[in-house]
Amino acid sequence: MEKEKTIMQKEIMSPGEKAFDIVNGILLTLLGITVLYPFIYVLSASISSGAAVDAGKVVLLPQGINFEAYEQILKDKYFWMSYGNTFFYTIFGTAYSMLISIPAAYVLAKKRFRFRKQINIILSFTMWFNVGFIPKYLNYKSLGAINNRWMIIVSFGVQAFNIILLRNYFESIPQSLEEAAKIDGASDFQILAQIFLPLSKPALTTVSLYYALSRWNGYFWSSVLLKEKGKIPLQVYLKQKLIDMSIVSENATTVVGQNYSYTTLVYAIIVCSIIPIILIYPYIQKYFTKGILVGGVKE
Amino acid sequence: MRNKGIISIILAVLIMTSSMSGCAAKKTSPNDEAADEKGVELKIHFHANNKYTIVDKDGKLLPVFQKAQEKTGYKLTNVANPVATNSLQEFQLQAAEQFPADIYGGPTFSQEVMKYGMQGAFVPLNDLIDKYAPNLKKFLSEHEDVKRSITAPDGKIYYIPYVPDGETARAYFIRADWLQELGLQVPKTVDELEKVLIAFKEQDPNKDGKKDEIPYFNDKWEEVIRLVNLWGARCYGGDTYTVRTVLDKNDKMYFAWTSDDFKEGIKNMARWYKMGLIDPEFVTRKANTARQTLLTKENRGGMTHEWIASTSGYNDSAELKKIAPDFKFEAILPPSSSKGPGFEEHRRVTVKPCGWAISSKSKHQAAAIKFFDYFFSDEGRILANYGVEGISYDMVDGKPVFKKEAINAPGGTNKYLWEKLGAQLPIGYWMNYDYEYQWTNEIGKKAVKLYTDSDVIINNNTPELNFTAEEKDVFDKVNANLNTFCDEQIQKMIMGVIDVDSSWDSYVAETKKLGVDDLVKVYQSAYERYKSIK
Repeated sequence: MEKEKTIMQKEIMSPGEKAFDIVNGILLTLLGITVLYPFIYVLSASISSGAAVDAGKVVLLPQGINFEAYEQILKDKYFWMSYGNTFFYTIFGTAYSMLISIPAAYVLAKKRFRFRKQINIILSFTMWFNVGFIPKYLNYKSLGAINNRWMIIVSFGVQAFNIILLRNYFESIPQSLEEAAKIDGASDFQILAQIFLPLSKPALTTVSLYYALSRWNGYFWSSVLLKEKGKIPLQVYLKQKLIDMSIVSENATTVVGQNYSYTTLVYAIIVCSIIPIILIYPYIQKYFTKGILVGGVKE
Repeated sequence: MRNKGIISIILAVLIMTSSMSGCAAKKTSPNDEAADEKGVELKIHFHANNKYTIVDKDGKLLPVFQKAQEKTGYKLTNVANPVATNSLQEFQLQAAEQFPADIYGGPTFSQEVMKYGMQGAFVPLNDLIDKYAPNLKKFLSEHEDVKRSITAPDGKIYYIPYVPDGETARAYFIRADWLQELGLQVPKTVDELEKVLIAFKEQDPNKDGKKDEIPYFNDKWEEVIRLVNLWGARCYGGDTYTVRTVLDKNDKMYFAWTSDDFKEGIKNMARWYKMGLIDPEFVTRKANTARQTLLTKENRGGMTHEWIASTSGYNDSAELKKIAPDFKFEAILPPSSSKGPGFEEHRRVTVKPCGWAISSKSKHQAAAIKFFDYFFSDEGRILANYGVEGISYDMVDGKPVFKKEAINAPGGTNKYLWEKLGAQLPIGYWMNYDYEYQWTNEIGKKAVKLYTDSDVIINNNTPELNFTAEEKDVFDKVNANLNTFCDEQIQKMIMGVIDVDSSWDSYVAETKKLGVDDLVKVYQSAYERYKSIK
């Protein structure tokens, strides 16, 4: 009987549903290719010969495979310094951001906090309105953020959206847990550390990931505020190489006798800068997908 | 519960007052023109080409500026950000801080400097030059066109420019080895040229058994459009591709890209494109790669129109000799057309929009102008052009001659001079064409002589004009959109996507709608003003 049922269920799938499946499949495949292609191209181009890339010959697969571009950048001490800087800004930056965001979200999640409504409004306000580049710059300047590593960490420490995410998640934790802990004599700090945080793993991972990614990719303000080559993160280093590329290409002479060109150099740097993200991502992906639902469940 | 309301009000007031503190009161310090003594410190904010400042990558003053510091006796301090990657943005940030440094320099900033100068941010230099800068005074009186180009609409000079030198710029280069291979003469008219290009296409001069030759190619697609010159039409007004308003024989401005001559030129180019005489990929090819690809890598290129020094350098390329042992790329005069003798439209600009200016906040304005003046002395001119004696050049018979390291530097002599010496950076100085001549090879030198002896270079390029605020408004509104539209349509016409004859009238009508007549009027009025400056 069971077998007959399943066969009937299969036949019951209407032509409309089948068509949807097919079209859906095709669209998603196309989307997948569109997303995958640039990645493969950059990878291929970085190990291809410079001349082939410049002539537009490299379309998908590498041509004239060589690793000279990688050799060149791995030799440059500033590459390693800026890589180190990026790790520095990412790790300490995320730690600092979480240090600020978690208590803020916790407090804002408590209904008994007196200024809750007002501060929530101010918080949201910063998300909607942006003062613009020049006032921000003058502000940072007067706060002493010029050419200061630690100020890079402090100046971009908080993003309102992430605090709101955490706050929403904390709000969804049943109040009964807190009341039970209070009866046992726990202080607010203990409640936060021992009850809320362990329960909020998805949200915490997601938010730290958001912070970490924005730090890792952080480029614009680093290039404006930092003035020493030894302090810049990888993305600014990459930008400098891009500029080198445009300066050199104005001249007639190529990099004579070399198998790399400035273009392949740039692609090699790009590959290097995304390797850590690619290595880590599969492991934290499950938290990401869970975390997207954060704030959606209300008690 | 009333507390909530009061607290909201207090918070609101706090927010408002804190946001208003951003509007600082503007203060201007009094100008101080007292003749300064030696040892005065000049803070220089010079950021060019998104990369270069007056210090090297370790933060030390570049040799050229060290020497200038020695000779002028002023202490030079760099305040620009050597790590920043956007020169224009750095300049704007300084504007936000109201230009605290003494000297400001950079590329393509002349319009900004004049705009802010007229608002009082930069010092008018006319009097300072008269009093303290004898070299500059002499130079400007001997070069009226430079003086006119740097004078702002209010009659004052706000910056000292980078003045290029050299009569020749681009020239037509053709494969002399292919001409010889096919038994052809150097073409003198555009019809002869057409026959030669057809022969390049059909008769396989690179002897690889395939008809893969590309008769005409160029590193930049905008330069390809300039081929209309061959049929007597003007294309660009000067050194950049964005100025397409040019002077006619009666000294009146007109828009080159809608003239009848231009139409005929495009028709012929469409015909050539169809026959495969023009690089089929000219629009999509990556900029600045055509010479390298079609010559050095593939030996398929036949003719181009490019800068003399760099193009003739291909004759010396060892890599190229491997695939084309008889390679010879020589200059020919512009072929004549039915409209008249051939002409060369491209020449260097009179002044580049780079240089440096003095902030009105500076307390050492006399020192700054004297510092500027040094580079216009004979000694200073050599310093800015060639670098430092013993490092980049030696004096031979009283003339500076580059050392071998400079001529053969990887990446080109220019890059070597910019990064290692600080020479040839776009500060305010007078370039000496001889520096470029020195790294030009024999074929290039012949090309220069060919063009300068034969009087083909036109002399009525659109000069560097300075717009008033109203004129600039019109220019800003019209020029970019107009150029984009024209680019699209003309590309389509050349590639045969649309037909020239049937689409021309609607093309011209659309340019009128985009404001081409207003643009021409603005150029004409700026030109009249330019001519009247004494």
